[in-house]
Amino acid sequence: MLEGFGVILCFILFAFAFVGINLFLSRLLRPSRPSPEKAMPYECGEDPVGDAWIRFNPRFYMVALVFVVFEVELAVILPVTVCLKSWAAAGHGALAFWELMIFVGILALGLVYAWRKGDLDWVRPQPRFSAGTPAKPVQRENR
Amino acid sequence: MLTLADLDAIAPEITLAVTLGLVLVLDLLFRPAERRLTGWLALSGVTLAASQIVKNLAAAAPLPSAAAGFFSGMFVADSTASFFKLIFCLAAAGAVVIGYRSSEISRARHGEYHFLLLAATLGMCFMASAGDLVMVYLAVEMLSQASYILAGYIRNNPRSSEGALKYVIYGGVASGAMIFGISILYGFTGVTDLVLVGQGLAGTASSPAALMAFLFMLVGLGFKVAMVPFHMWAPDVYEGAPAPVTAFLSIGSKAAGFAVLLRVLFSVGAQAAPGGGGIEAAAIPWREMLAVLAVLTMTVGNLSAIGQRSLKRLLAFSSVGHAGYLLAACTTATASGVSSILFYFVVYFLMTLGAFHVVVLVSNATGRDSDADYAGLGWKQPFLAATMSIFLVSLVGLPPTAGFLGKWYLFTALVEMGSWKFLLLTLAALLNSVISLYYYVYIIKKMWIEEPAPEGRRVVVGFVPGILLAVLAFLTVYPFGYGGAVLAAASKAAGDRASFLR
Amino acid sequence: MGHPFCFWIAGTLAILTALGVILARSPLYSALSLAATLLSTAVLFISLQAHLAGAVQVMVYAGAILVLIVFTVMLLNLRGDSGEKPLRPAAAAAGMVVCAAFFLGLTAFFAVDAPTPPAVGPEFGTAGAIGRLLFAPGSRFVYAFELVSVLLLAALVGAIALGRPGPEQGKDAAS
Repeated sequence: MLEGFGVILCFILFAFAFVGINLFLSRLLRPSRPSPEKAMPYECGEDPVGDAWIRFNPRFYMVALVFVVFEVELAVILPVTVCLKSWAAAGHGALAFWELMIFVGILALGLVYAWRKGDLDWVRPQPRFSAGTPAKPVQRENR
Repeated sequence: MLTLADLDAIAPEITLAVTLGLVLVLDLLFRPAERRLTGWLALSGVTLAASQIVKNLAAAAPLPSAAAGFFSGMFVADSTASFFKLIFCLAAAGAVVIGYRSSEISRARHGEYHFLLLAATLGMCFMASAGDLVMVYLAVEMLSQASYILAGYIRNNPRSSEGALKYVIYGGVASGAMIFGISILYGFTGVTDLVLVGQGLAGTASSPAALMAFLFMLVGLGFKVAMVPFHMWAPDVYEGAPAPVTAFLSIGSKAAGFAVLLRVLFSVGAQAAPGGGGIEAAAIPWREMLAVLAVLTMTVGNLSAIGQRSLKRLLAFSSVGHAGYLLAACTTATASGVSSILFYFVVYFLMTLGAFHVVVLVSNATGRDSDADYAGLGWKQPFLAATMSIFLVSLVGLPPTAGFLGKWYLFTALVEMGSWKFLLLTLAALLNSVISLYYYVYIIKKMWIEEPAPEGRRVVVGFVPGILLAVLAFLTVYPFGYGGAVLAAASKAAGDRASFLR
Repeated sequence: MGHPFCFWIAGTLAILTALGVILARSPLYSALSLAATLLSTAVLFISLQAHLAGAVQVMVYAGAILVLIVFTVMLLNLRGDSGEKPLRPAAAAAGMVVCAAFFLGLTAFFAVDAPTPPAVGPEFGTAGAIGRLLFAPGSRFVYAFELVSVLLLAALVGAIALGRPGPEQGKDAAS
C-alpha cells in the first residue's frame, strides 16, 4: 500500500523539480528588464478594470456552507461502501440501509429547508407577502 | 441491539428530536408573521419530553438495564441524568415563554430560534446521559453549535456579534483541547466507554501523561460551566445574547456542563470503593485540583461582578461565582454532594429565570441595559422591584429564600466530609457569599433608595409575564412548600449509585 | 507503522507550514500555509494506515473548510497590510518562551512512563474497520452516528439563519 503512495510522492517531487529547474534555467538565460506593465495582472491584454480584491457576494458563502455540511456527510457514509456487501451477504443489508436512510433523511431536511427558504437561489425572489411592491430587477454582479 | 427498554429510556430525546424536525417543517409552511406560533409546538414537545422523563424518574424500579447503560453503555439513563434533563426542559420552556414577547428576536426568525433552542436542549440531554467519550464530545458539540448561533442572534448589534465571536473562538479552543485529551485517553486505554477508561487508567495511577490528558478534557467541560480560567466568554456572551437566550444558557448550559462533569469525574477520574461507600483510589488527584479551581472560580466571579454597570454582565459574573460553589460541592463525590447540586440547580433555575425576566422587561422598555434604569424602580413600579429584590436576595443566599436552602445543603454536604480541607473550602465559599452581598444589595439599594430618573419610561409588564414573575418570586421566597419534596427527589436521584459508579 | 522517512518529511513540513500560518502577514498566505499543513497531516495519517482519516482530511479540511476560509478572507476584504502593528520583540520573545515551555512540558509528560497503548491489529483504522464500527448492526456507535446527522442539521440551519442577509441588508443589496 505504502509503496503506491511512494510513487505518488515521487511524482509530486518530480513535478516540483520540473518547474523549479525550468524557472532556474530560464532565469540564467533571459534578460531582466522589469517594467510596470509587466507587473500588472494579466487580463487578456487589456488594462485591468478595478481591483482583483473585490468583495465577494455573501451568497457564495452560503452555498459553500451547505457544501461543507454535505461533504462531511459524505465523509461519514463513505466507509459503508467498504462493508455493505458483506452485511448484505449476512442478511443485515436492510438494517444498514435504513440506518443510512435515517441519517441521510435528517440531513435532507436541512437541504429542503435551505432550498425552500430561498437561500440557494442566486437571484433572491422578492418577498412574496408584501403585495403591491413592483419587482425590482436584482443586480447580478458580485457586490 | 435495540430493545423496547432502550426506547423507553431514550423516549424524551426522540420526542425532542421529532419536535425539532416538526418545528423546521412548520417554519417553512408559516408566513413570517406567524412563525412565532412554532413556539407552541416547541413548548408542547418539551412538555411531552418532560412528562416522559418524570415517568422514567417515577418508575418504582430503575429501568431494567439502566445500570449497564443503553446501546451498550453509550447512553446512561439513570435518575441523576433524568433529574438534570428535567431542569433542561424547564430552562427550554422558560426560554420559549420569555422569548415569545422579546423585542430582540424578530418575528420572522422565531422558527429558527425555537429550532435552535430544541437542538441545544437535545444536546444537553445527551450530555447528561453520555456514557462514552464519543458521546460526551458529540453532545457537547451539539449544545455548543446551537448556543454559538443563539448568542449572536440579534442582527446588526455589534455586541451580540462580538459575544458570539468570542464564544466561538474560546469554545473552539476548549473543544479542541477536549478532543485532544479524549484522543490521548483513548490511546492509553483503547476504549471509549467512560467506566472502562476509568478502569484502564486505574493501573496507571501515577502517570503524568494520563493526568495531562484528563486536564485537557477538563478544559472543555470547564468551559461549559464557566470555570475560571475558562470563564472569559461568559460576560460578553451574556451581555450580547438576547436575554431569553442568556437565561437559557446560564441555567441549561451550566447544568448540562455539571451533569457531564460529574459523570466524567466520577467514572474516569475515580474508582468505586468495593463497599460502594464513596470514592477511593482515584487514578487522578482531581479532588485537589477541582477544589483549587472552585475557590478561584468563586473568587474571580464575585470580585469581577463588583462595579459592573450592565445588569447582564453582573448576572454573568454572579453565575461564574455560583459555578464555583457548585464545583466545590463536586469535590465531595458523595451522594449528598450530588443531591445538593441537583437541588441547587432547581433553586438556581427559579431565581436566575426570574432575575433575567425582569432584566428583559426593563431592557425592552428602555432599549438598553444599565443599572441607571433601575434607579427608583421601587417607587414607580413596586411589583417589579419587589420581585427583583426577592431574586437578588435569593442569589445572595439569605434566609428565608430558596437560595439560602440551596446554599445550606451545598455547604452541609461539604462540612459532612469532616476533614479540614473541606472546612477550608466551605469557609472560602462563605466569604464569597459575603462579597456577593455587596453587588446584589447595590442594585436593591438603587431600586428602593435612589430617586427615579425624571425622564424614565414606564416598564410594561404584561399579564403572562406578570403571572410568571409572581409565581417565580413566590417559589423563591417561600421554598418550604416544595423544598422537601424536591430535596427528597434529588437525594433519591443521587442515591441511585448506579448512576455514576456502575 | 509508517515509514520513518515519510514521518520525518511530512512532520517537518507540517510544523514549518503551521509556523507559516501564524507568521504570514497576509491572511491569504496563512490560508495557503494551512492547506499545506493539512495536506502534510493527511500524509501522516495515511502513513499510519488510517486511509479514511487521510482522505477526510484532504476532502473536508484541505478542500471544503479551506474554501470557506478563503471566502471569508475575500468577503471581509482582508488585506495583508491591515495597518496592524508588528509584534513587539519582547512580546514575541515571551510568546516563544511560553510555547517552548508548553512543548517541553508536554514532551516531558509523555516521556515519563506514559501508559503503553494497547496493541492493535493490522485492520485498525482502515475504512472497513471504521465502517463496521459505525454501521455494523448492533455496533454501539450506530447511535452516535445517527446523532451526528442531527448535529449537522442543527449546524446547517444555524449557519443559514446567521449567514442569511437580513431584511435591512437585503434591501441594501437590491437598491
